[in-house]
Amino acid sequence: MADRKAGIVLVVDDEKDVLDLAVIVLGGEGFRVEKAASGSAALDVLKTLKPDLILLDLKMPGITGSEFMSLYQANYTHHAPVVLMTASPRPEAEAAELGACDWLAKPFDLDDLIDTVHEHLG
Amino acid sequence: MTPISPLASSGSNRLLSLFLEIQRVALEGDVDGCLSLGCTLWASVLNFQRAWAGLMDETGEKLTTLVSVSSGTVERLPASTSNLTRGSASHLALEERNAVFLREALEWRNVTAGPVIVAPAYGPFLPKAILVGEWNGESEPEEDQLDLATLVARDVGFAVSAARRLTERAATTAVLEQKVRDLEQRVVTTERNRRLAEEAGQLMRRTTNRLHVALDQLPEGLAVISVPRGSLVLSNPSAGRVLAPDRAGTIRATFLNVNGLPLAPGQSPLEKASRGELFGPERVLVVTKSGRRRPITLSAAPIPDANSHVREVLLVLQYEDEPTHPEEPTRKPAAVAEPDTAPPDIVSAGHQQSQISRLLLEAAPFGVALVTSPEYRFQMANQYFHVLAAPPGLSVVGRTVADIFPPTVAVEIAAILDEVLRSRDRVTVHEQSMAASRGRDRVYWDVEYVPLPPATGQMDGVLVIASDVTERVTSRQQIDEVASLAVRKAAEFEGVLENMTDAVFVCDSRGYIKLINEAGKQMLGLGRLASSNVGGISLRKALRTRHPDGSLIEYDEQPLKRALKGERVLLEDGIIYSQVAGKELLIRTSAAPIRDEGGWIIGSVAVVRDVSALVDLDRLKDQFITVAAHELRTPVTIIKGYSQLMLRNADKLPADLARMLEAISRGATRIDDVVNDILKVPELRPRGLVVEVEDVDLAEMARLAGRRFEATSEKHQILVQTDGPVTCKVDRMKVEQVLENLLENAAKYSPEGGIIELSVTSEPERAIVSVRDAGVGIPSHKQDQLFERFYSAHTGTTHDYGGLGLGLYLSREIVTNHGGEMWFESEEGIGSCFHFSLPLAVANG
Repeated sequence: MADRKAGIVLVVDDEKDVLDLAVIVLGGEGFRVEKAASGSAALDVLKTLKPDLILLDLKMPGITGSEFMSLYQANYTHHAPVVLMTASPRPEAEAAELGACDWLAKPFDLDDLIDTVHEHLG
Repeated sequence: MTPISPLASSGSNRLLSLFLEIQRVALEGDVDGCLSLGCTLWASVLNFQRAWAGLMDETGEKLTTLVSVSSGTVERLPASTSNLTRGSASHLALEERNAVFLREALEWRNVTAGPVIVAPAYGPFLPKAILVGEWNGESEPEEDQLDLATLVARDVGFAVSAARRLTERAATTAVLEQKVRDLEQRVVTTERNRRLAEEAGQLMRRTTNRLHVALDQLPEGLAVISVPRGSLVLSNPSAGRVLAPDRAGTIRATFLNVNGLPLAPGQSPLEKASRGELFGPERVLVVTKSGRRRPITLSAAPIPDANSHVREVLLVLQYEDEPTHPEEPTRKPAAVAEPDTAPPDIVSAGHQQSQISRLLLEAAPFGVALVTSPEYRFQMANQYFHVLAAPPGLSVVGRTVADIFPPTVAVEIAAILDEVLRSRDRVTVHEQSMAASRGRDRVYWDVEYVPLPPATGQMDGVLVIASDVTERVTSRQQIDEVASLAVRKAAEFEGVLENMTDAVFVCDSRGYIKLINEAGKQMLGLGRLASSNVGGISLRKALRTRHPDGSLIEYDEQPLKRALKGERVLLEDGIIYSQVAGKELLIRTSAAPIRDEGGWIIGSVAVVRDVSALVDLDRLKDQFITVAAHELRTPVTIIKGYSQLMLRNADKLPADLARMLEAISRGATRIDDVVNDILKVPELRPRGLVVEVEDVDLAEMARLAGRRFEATSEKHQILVQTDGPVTCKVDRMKVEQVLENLLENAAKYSPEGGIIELSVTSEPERAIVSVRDAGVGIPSHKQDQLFERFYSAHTGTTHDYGGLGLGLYLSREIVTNHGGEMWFESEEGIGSCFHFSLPLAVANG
């Protein structure tokens, strides 16, 4: 395992399995990984946490990814870069539209996930 | 009783009318005029005699001229005639009258009866010239241009004989007698003159006979009666039969008025005429020898002699009833009046008549033939009939109907002939179908079958008068055919039009809608009743359509209007509000100009399809696919993620477990590939596709793709062939996808491995990329459907290597959206070769 100072990553996804996978993989890379199972949970977490990167699933029940983005942009002073995790056929367009800095198309390779996070926290 | 105008009738009445003319002059007191005209008669008679006598003295040439007049051309008539009458009448008047009776003669071509007597060229009361008009058989009469020159006028000699007869019968002057004697004297004086005289005598006799024939044919009675004796000097048979002279020549018939009462004293025709007055024309009853009373119209006129003394009277009898059979069968009842005349040359006269008839028949513009029973043998046929019926080079004469016509036609004709002979009635058959002839499949005649009057000792005969009406019949048949075809086509067209689910609008060149089919009316919300008003709907008002984005389609933008300017509009989308549906419809319109034969645009037609349902369905389907694919991706992410996670520590796992995890990961990847393909379907819909183009060197792209491909496949070897850069303006990602699809397919369907050839070539305006494999090939019966969505040629076969059947569909969509084409050749067991073309960025020189 690498050292833990590399950064804090907040993963937002309604799929518990995906959250666990991110925790295992990114944790294994030495990142501190926080989880949120919904948009509203994420907004709660962010009141106290200032992550270095947010991995955001777009399609969630309740507050969707895009609603989360606008609320996050509007109501928070600290803004971490956001990487979209999306099953949409046009991820780059969505990323640009919502102001995300990058995107991961589901289903992604683990290497892609690791590389992307490193890229933004490197 | 309606007085009969002497000028209004023809034939002998004309003679009388001319004579009456003189008499009127006389009655008007113009004694000089009367005298001069009277003298003219006798002068002309004398002139004739003089001319005749002179003729005898002249050379043979002069005679030849005369002879040729009697059988020659009409141009020579006036000159020769005037030669005979010089000094006795105006030359001009003679020619004018010639023109008149020649014109009349021309009209006789419709008269088929024997010789026709024409009015005298001039002269007071008897014909100076009698023409028998006939067509010259050798020259074709023009149908619509009757030329005098084509008429042959014969027998001016009648004038001679008429004069001579009068002279011989009536004239008693010593001068004449002296002249005749002189003539006879001279005839015998020289041998040459004697011969001439003989010939002349024959000629005169012949012409005399002709006059007899002509006079004999007259239905009217003509008689010259000497007064005051009342004996018949000269008469034709028609008059002779009624007047019934006794042996002394005294006429035995008497005249009563129409009421059966005797005529007032001094008012009988002979008495009046003797006084120099005219009688009639008046209806009287003539009491014949047998006591029978016949109504006739009688005219009488005095014939003054050179001294204006009336010695003879001319009687003209017109019969109102059918002429009775001769009460005296003698042909010449006035025999006493001509005791020293040679008997008429009947053979010659008959010959003359038959020759005329023959010439008339030959020139007739219809076929005439005579067939006789029992064999129905042709006894004669004119030229036209031969043209119609005879085999080339053969004459029908002497042959039978069965010889000439094919059996079916011959039987039909024979049946008609049987019927004609049985009933003795003429039969007219219109458009009788004859055999093929002269290169025509079918020939039609209008035929008239006329039975000849039965004659004892002769075979029954039927005249067959035929004209060719094939052209009329065939052109009518053609017109009928075309008309029925047109009706059928119109009905078919209307049936198709009305049953189409697509709306059809046709407008004229001014933009007025002329035709809307049922579907169109539905679309516009027009009831059936509105169809009658269709002609008045302006395109400007009727089709208020909007672009798919909601903006109004201006009048000039409307497909029908653009088509009027020559544009062909293909599948253009628009929105129209339908009252029937109560909502807006999405329509897809195609329009084209309608041109006449000359290429001018005379209207336009638009076919409009309501695609609302189609679009709704399409949208729904796309939505479904998107959601379904999206929902699949999350579980795939999980499967793929965890299997990869476990494989990160593969060295700590048992080998077989690692292989299983790899299989799971591969499976997840394949699911992902499928999902990706599915998601591209809606994205690739033509209207949804945004192509981002840049200059791409296809040769370079092919080499890179080949290299990438070779790295992934161990079994296959790839050969890339390019000749220099081939630059196209394309969406690089999309074209790469096409190339990869084709390479993947080539590999997939050549499972044994082998060589895959990838080539890039260029034509003047396009680049062609080809991928050839030596794989399993595509069965020919499946080739048609190859580019369809979700179609895989090998589904359910031993070559089913999976896949959604979207690769080729998507590839072709991409190529088509770039303005290119995709096609292939394939043979089962040999391999396939797929090609696609793309337009070059810059066309090759």
